[in-house]
Amino acid sequence: MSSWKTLRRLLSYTGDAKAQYASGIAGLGLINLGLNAFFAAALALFADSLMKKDRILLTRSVLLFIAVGVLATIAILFAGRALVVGADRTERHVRSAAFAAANAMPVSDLERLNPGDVLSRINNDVAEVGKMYRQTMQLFSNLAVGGVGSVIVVLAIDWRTGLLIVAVSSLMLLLTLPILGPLRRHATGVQEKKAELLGDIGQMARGNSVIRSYGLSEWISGKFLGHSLAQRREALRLGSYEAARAATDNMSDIVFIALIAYGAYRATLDHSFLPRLAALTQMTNEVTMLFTQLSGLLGDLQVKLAAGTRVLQLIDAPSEPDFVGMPGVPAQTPVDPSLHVGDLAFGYASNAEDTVRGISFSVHKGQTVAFVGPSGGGKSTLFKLLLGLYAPTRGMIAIEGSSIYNERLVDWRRHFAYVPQNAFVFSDTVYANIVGGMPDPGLQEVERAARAANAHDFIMQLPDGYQTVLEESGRNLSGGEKQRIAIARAILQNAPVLLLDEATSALDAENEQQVQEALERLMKGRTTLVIAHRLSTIQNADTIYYLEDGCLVEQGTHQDLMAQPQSRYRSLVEAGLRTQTV
Amino acid sequence: MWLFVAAALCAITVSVTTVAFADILGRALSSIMRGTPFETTWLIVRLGILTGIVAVSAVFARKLLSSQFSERLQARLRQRIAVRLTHATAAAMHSRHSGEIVSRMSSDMVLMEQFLKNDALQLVVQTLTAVLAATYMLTHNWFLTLVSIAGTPVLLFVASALTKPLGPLSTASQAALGQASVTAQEAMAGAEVVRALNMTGVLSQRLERSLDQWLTHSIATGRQVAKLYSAGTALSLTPFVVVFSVGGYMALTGRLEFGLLIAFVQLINYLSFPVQEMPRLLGQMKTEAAAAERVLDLLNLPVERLGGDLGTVDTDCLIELANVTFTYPGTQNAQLQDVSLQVRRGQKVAFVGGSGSGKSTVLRLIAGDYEPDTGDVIVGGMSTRSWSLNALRRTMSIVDQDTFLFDDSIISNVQAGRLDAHPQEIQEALDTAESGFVQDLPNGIDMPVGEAGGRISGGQRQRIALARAFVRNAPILILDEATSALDNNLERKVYANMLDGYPDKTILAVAHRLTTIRDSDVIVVFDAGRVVEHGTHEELLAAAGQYATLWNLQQSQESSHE
Repeated sequence: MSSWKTLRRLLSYTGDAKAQYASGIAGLGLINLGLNAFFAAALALFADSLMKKDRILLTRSVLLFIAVGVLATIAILFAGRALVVGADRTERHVRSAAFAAANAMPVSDLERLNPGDVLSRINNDVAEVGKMYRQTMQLFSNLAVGGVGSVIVVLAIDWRTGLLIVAVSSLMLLLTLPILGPLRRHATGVQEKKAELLGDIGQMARGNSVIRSYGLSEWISGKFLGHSLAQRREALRLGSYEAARAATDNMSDIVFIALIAYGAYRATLDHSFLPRLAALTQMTNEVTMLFTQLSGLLGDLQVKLAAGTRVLQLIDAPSEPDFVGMPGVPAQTPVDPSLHVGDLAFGYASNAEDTVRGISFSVHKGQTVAFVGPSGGGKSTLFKLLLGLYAPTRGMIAIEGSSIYNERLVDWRRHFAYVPQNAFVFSDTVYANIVGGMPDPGLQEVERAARAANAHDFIMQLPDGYQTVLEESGRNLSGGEKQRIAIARAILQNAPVLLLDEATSALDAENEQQVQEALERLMKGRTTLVIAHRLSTIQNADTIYYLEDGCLVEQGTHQDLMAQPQSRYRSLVEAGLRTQTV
Repeated sequence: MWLFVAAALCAITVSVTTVAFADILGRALSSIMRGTPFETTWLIVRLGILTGIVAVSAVFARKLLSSQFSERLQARLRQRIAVRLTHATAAAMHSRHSGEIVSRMSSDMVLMEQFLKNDALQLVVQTLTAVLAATYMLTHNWFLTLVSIAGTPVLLFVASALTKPLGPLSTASQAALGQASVTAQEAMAGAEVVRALNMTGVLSQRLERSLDQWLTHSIATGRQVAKLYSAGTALSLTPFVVVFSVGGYMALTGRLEFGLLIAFVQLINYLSFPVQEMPRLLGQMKTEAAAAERVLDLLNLPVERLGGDLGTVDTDCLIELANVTFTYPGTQNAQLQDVSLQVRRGQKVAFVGGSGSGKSTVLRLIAGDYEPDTGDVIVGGMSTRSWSLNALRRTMSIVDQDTFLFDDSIISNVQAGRLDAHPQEIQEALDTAESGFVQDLPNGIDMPVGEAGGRISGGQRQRIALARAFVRNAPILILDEATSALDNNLERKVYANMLDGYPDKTILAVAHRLTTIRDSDVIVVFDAGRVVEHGTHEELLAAAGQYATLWNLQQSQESSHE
């Protein structure tokens, strides 16, 4: 997308604030121009009155000064308000749109893009875009309206002097241009070197015990010294270019001197030029500003537009469809099994190999099936497919005869209660956490679910009971408590099929027992699919499926599979079931 | 230091030329107005050109010199800190968070740089310019000077009154924005759960609520900011208007020249600096000074003692703890109480016990990281208090609980065990640590492991750390939960390789999984900072004490169902 298009699209987010924002931007530019032009006029009048020793003329010029000042003060109040408020309202639109896009993005895309990156677009890049609305655009309007206007005014006052000012200013700009490239390059260089140094410092701090016990202090200090000297070299280079830039910033003085020198020459020949010279001294700053600040502004705009592009990319990302795409498999499936999976396959577009390769199985109502196998074997991908988080590349999933392709995803997901491996809680009230996405069932129901999940007692001990707001990632709860909240959520959902991803990390004995009890209540009478890590869970399953490389390689009961001396399941059990967690 | 003095001299030059320039401008205009011949005016203008050139050069030189000064100082400082940091005591590092040290070296250092490079000299320039401008104006026309700045305090008062509500307002809008970003974070991190529970709508509502709040506070802030803009405009225009109106009538009656008015207008902005900018600049410099102090404080980091005797490790009783009591600095309760134990050369010893029971602490004492409060830790017949710490640590290879790897390649990380190790030895060490996975990595042994080894898994990190210890080939091997992230099979293999490859080493190992250490020569059981049992696996089982209880518990958890 070209910069211009990006800018136009970003500006289109003004929406209902369009008139307000536009009037703010244009207003501030015009005020800037008007203030300077009228001040210049007043100054000319003033000088003229002094030359002519005309008191009435002087009074007029003084009144003009006062009028311009008062008007500018008032006008800026309104234009400034329009700009800032318009910018805030616009930023809000962008924030909503960016979040909505991320919130609707298919999970597979989200994982591919890396959630951290998406989050940084929602937070940091949008904030940059907000600054663009508030500051960059204002400066832009000041330069475009105020600066260009000033050039016109200067030329109108006296075209020869005007040209001189413009010419000397452009010359100054030309002098600045060769500095800008190296300036940016060395600034980046310094940042990179700084990052290296900080990396070293971080290692010294975090790796201090290794450094101590292996006598590595000289080794790592030596590395650091190299990086430190490189950083100094780069910073000193940057320093000289910065000094040069600071000097060129003072170039407006040079333009000023040129004006005075030429003006003095003109004024001594033609006395009536003096008032115009006075007006021109007032206007030069605006003109030089156009030249000295333009490059900086364009650089800043580039940065903001880069952030804007990242935000727009996010906004344009496709959303999760209402229906999972139909890979052309008939929906004819037997009604009897509670859950039927036929020849199900899935692969990431980027990877050549599928992560799930043609899995078929059926689960009858009320049965429990366990999935075991090495990590990366396809267990969690299978769960994501069942939940419609990933779209299958082929195959069928059906619940009681109804196919995943024929239901809206929102409805499809109501068939499942999902308890993830690491219980996820939201920084909201305990109540809201248990209710999740359901219509509010009332406190009584929520409490019943919490009791069944062994969660009621500890919830009542929280400062505000069910209305206690959980901290970010549930920091004020223990691991076992979070799990019990997740279980309460699943109990409340009362969905026909339970998807349980068992936790690998051990809890203390008390918590462990409470969680197990709650899980048993949850599983009772429900069709359950479990990614199992505990031997007892697996043993109690009606069928065990061993998944490896995306295929079901073994299936049967615990006894069946243990009876086969060569079975992978057996060697897994004998190794203590730990391999799958590594 | 002379760099700073030179930069300061340039700064003074900048101040002087600023005032001189305004004066010259005024004189030139007055001279034109009086209708003096061009040659006289031209003389003044030439002086102006000269002043301008001096000013631009002074600005350039000042920036250049101050950056030289600041960069050189910073480099020297950070190098000294690095040396300090790498020799710091375990106790000093224990009480500090690594993130905090990094933050001192990054954000605090940046603030300090700001101070050295800009703000200190900025203060000099601005103050001096204000003083010079005031002197110039007062000597030329004290009445006009006073009149022109008379209105400023009132406007400043208005501005500060307008600024006051901004603090709470922006805090409120930041808080709302923080809420929004928490929601966004949860929508991303919990995407799977959010979708599975059909919660996207709930989260959207929550976000919209936060954004509504944010917008309300932001608009309130914006309205206030607009008032400030307006006041700022009035503040900057008033002196102009006053000088021109009052000065105009004075000039008309011949009490004042036109040029001086222009000079006044040029200078008047510099006068308002002490009132307008000084508080902000001083506040900022205060922050910067505090930051600099935090950076300099790192130079006070306690470092380990140097010197000491070179001991041997030939004694039969290689390691001995005699009535050791030890308390971690800054804590109340003793971590070890009256602990005595002996390790003979070549023995394989295991330390067992709950978390916080003191087993890891014993290892730290043996490694010389800490000294006991009372009692003695004796290695090779000599107290660790007398050992040269460097020499003591050359006798041991340690693998810590949290495996730290350097942000470097696998080979460099293993080589860190012994910097002159031969590639052949490195390969052998990796093999002993069952690190066959290295061959499957994109760049094999040259693959960078990422920051803190983040690009490889926990189990892989541990195996690299083990290889680093093996390549060191020191007589004592200390393993603190060194194989906790490996599965049973791998762990067993690593231990077998280790005993095969290095049969003579004295090994001290802490392990939670008891099957790992059941074949040790001695198992020492810790509880609450004391040794409660010791003996072989069989002896301890027969004794039916704590070890036996632990063993039975773990057995039932892992395999009772079989």
